[in-house]
Amino acid sequence: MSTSSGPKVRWPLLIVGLVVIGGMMALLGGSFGRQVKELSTEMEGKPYRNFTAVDFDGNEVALDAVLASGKPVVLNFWSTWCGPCKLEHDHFQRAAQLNPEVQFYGVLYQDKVPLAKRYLQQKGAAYPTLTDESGAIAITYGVGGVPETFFIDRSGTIIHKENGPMHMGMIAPLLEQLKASTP
Amino acid sequence: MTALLLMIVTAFGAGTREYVPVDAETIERAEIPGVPPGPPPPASQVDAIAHDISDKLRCPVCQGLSVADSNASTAVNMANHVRALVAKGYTEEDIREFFITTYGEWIVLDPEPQGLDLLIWLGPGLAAGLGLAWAVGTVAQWRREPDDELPSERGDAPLDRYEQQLLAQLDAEIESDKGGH
Repeated sequence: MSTSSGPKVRWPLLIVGLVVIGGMMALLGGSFGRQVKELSTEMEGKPYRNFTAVDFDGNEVALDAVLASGKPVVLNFWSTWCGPCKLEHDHFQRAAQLNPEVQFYGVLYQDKVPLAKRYLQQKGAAYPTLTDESGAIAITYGVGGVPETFFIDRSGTIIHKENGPMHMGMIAPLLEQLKASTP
Repeated sequence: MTALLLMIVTAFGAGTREYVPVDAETIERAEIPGVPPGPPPPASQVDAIAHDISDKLRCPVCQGLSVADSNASTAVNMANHVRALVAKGYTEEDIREFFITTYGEWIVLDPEPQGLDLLIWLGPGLAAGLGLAWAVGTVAQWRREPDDELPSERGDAPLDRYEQQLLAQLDAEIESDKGGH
């Protein structure tokens, strides 16, 4: 005889509401958790951007001129306060020694030149490191943190941008691609 | 305590900084693809234009702060770069395009309404529209329902004891009237 007299639940409306709220929370959560390191590969596949810079020995380097000489280029942004940069340091030194046909450059990122010089004296410097005090080179290449590494082939195309530390197993195949490229 | 607060504020890069003049070397090195479309603005306007542009760029190493609002080194360098570009004669559109093609659409705080970002632009309007439609529908339903109907008559609630007695009495009267004719 007795029937339920509680409030009538509108299930379709409730489900739609929950889906909408859940979706918006997921979007917001995804946005807050998004790291620039996961996103900034925008420069991959694009032409290199020229810059001129001075290395630790006072030599002026123009990227245009290096590529015009027919050498592909590896640009590694690093700093002494960056732990992962120290992890990959030996791998890049070894890669540069084994591949003299590729021009390697370090680019010092938000760090003091004397500190970097001392670090390289202790740990080895198989290639020049460029200063970038104003951060112009880093901004021109969309660098959001270190380490970040750009592989530019002989035609001037950025074939790969790596966000984070690299080891020889990752570097070697990319160097083969660079060496196989044509101007 | 003060030192702790200072550390927290510094760590999160909060606060608005004072602008310092951009040195000639920074201006010289600031380049983006293409040549400036016109002459640079008057020097007195450069800071205001640059601040307006930096205010719409996301600081890449902060959480939810614009380049203009952050004291992080990366943001300071970006703000200086923007001012150097403005001083060279690049327009807001040129600079915005440069940052999008370099860092991705994520770098701007007011993304173009396309792809998933379209939801951000359409979402509030869509939600407001759905809410309005629901409200109009509910009001229309109320207006269709006569006010003098009992809940039990609409089928919303079972008959209570008094109503059952009333109904039985009514049925009896109807039967009695039928018998009388």
